[in-house]
Amino acid sequence: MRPPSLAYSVSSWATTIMRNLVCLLLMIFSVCRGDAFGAEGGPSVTRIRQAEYIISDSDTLPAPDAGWSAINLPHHVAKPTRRELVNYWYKVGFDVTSLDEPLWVLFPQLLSGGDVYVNGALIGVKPWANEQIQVRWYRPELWLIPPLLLHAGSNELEVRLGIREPFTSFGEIDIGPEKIQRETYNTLVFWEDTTADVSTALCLLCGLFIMVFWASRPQEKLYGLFGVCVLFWGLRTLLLRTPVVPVDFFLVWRLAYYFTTAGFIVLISIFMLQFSSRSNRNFNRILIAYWLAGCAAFMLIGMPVRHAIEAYWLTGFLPFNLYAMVCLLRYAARQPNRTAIAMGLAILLALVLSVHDLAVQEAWIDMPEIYLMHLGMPAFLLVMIGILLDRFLITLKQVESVNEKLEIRVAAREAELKQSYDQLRKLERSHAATDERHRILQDMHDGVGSQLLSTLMMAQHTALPQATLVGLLQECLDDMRLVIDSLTPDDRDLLPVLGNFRFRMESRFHSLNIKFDWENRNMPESMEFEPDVGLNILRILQEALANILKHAKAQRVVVDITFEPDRLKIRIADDGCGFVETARIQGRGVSNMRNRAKKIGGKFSINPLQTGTEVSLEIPLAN
Amino acid sequence: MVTKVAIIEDNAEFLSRFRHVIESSADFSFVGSAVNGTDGLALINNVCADAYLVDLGLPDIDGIELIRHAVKLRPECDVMVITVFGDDTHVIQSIEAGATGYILKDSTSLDILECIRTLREGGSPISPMIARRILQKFQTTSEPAAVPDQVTAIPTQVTPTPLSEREYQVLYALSKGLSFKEIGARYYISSHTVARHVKKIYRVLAVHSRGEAVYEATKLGILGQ
Repeated sequence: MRPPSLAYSVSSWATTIMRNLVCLLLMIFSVCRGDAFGAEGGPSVTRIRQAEYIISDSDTLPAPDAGWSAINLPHHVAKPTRRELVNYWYKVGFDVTSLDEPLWVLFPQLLSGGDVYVNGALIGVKPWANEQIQVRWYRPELWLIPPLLLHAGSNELEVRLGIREPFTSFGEIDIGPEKIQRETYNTLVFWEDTTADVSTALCLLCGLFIMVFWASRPQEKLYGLFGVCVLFWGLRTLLLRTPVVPVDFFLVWRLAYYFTTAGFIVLISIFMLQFSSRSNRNFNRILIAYWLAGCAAFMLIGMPVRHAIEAYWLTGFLPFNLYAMVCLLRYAARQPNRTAIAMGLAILLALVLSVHDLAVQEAWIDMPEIYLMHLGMPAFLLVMIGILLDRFLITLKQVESVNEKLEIRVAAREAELKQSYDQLRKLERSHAATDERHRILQDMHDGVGSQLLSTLMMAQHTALPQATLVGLLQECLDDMRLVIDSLTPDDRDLLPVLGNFRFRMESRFHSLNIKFDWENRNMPESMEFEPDVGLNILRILQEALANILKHAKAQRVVVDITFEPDRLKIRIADDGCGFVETARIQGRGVSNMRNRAKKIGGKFSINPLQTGTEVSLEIPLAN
Repeated sequence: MVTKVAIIEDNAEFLSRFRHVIESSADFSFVGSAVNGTDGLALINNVCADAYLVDLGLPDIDGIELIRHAVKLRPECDVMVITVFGDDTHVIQSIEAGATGYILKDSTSLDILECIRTLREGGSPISPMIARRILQKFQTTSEPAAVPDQVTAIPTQVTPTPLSEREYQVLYALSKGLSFKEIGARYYISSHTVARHVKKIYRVLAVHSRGEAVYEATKLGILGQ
């Protein structure tokens, strides 16, 4: 079997994580609900579901015949009167069979607060709405019932409270021993309160973080939008969970709550559309207009439209929100990449949670009034962090692959360059070889070739003395040697060529018993010359030495070569019969040497010595 | 002690001249000659000489083969190659085959005798051009990346070559055109010692090139493991 590719395994890894996360959230959710009601089946906790209530401003418990109504708990109905603040008395009966263990009373939800009495005695106070304040508690309450207040048999628990909400909400009551009650209480506190606090803090921090990120990369509009969403949500939760609000600020507070809540819905809808590449300017405008209009209406009219705002205006966002969700889900279905799928799942979770919250708030279902929407946002945040991480990983991978590609390309380019350089070198060499061939051909033609030819003609037409013939042929051979010595297309150093010449001449003069001294002064490491320049220098030397051999009858020859930074000085001196005597004979040789020296830009002179002759040559160097 | 000399040369003029030169000296004796490669091989097999003079341009067999054969069969002898120009290509090939000297065809008789004498005394002749080529050979084979120009630029040994420090110095000085005498004066040795160094260098080059050949052959799979 083929091993899965890295990309595939990363993708499946991410999806698995996401799936597990969602499962975990759902599981926690169900466990939480299970915990909340698990106590119901417990042997010693009594869940009270029957109650009586009365609308009354009385400070004391109204008389039994004052007009109590029997209801089932949780009691969740629309406000029964048009009064802004309605005061209630609730009372429930419960039986006590054993007085051995102290009993505790647990209110899983005591949203509106209240004064709690047992058999007419106050056992707990939780601030409730009055003329000065508005309250909303999102946490359970647990109180000890002082054992002295209880008696075996039937007992009564009374709660006095005031409600401003459009809905009257009064939850169930559990009575039982401390151990179980406290466990339930802790669980509820955790899920209703702690998680919400954590989520709020998380949202505000992440929102700020994303905004900072956005500020440094303004082109990432999607992230900016999400950052604002998260901030709105954080603010909304913060506002919502302010339990006690003075009535003077209630309108502003509520307005801020509507503004942030609806703003969040608007922004998340726009975000979802943008995420699924279905952004529509008109849709956005309508949505924003609707949002601002609702807020403006509440600001102008105030509390009287509160119910309309909550029941209709907020619900009115649902179609927009649903449309955006459908777009996103379709996008996720069409492009089943992990980010789209994760985003789709988070949206679904949020949808489920918000529908739950709406159902609870509007009393569509018979469930305790626990709001869970705040759990949707962390899921969103996780997805978003996942997406950012994903993008980071992808970018990292891209950078790596770009580097790799670059390296490969650089290597390829290097190889190409090397190849073309090699070709160039080859071409240069071949050019040099061609040039050299031309030079040698030219040289043979003008030098050895014509010399041989003239020797041949002379031998054919006149009876040459043997010595003359030998001399002429020797000249031919010597010249050929010079040409061969200078045959170095890739090496222009004159030193070994000069050395070779010296080596050859030394043995020739030695065999004729003529003392031959060759002196190099300041010899450098190398001395580069164009081949034809080198050859001309050698030919002048050769001519001068040949003249000495032929005509001077010398006993000693001195060759002095001085290497100076800017010139090469050559001096050839002999102790022979002198220049004047031989001038007539060597006329042609001298003019040859002069011409050659001129050709290479050198200075040539012949000077008579006291005994013998001195030939000097001075060649300027290029640098 | 008389030095026995055998000559393998297809040109009758040269052969007779060399023979004449050898026979004219009391220190040397002519022990045989051949005018082609086949006869040359037989001569090497049958006649034991101190020095074999071999021409490269034989009609049937490459003179290089004969040099190899002679060196292999008679390691104590000296093989000299006879060349027209003493050009580096031919001379170095011969040295790599095992020759320890070379004689120019137009050398004077004095030169020819001097050359063989030097050889028998343990020295070898060398021209600056050949010295330079050998130097380049050691440098390019021991370090492929070496630029030939470095030959002259760096007077001391940079890369490990099979040559000793002194041999390298001598070779370097030779390549610059210094005479044996001058080199001897520079390093406080006699010119004979310089000549002996040269012979040693020739032998090292022969071994070195044989090593190279074996290496190349092994690489190509011609030789077994």
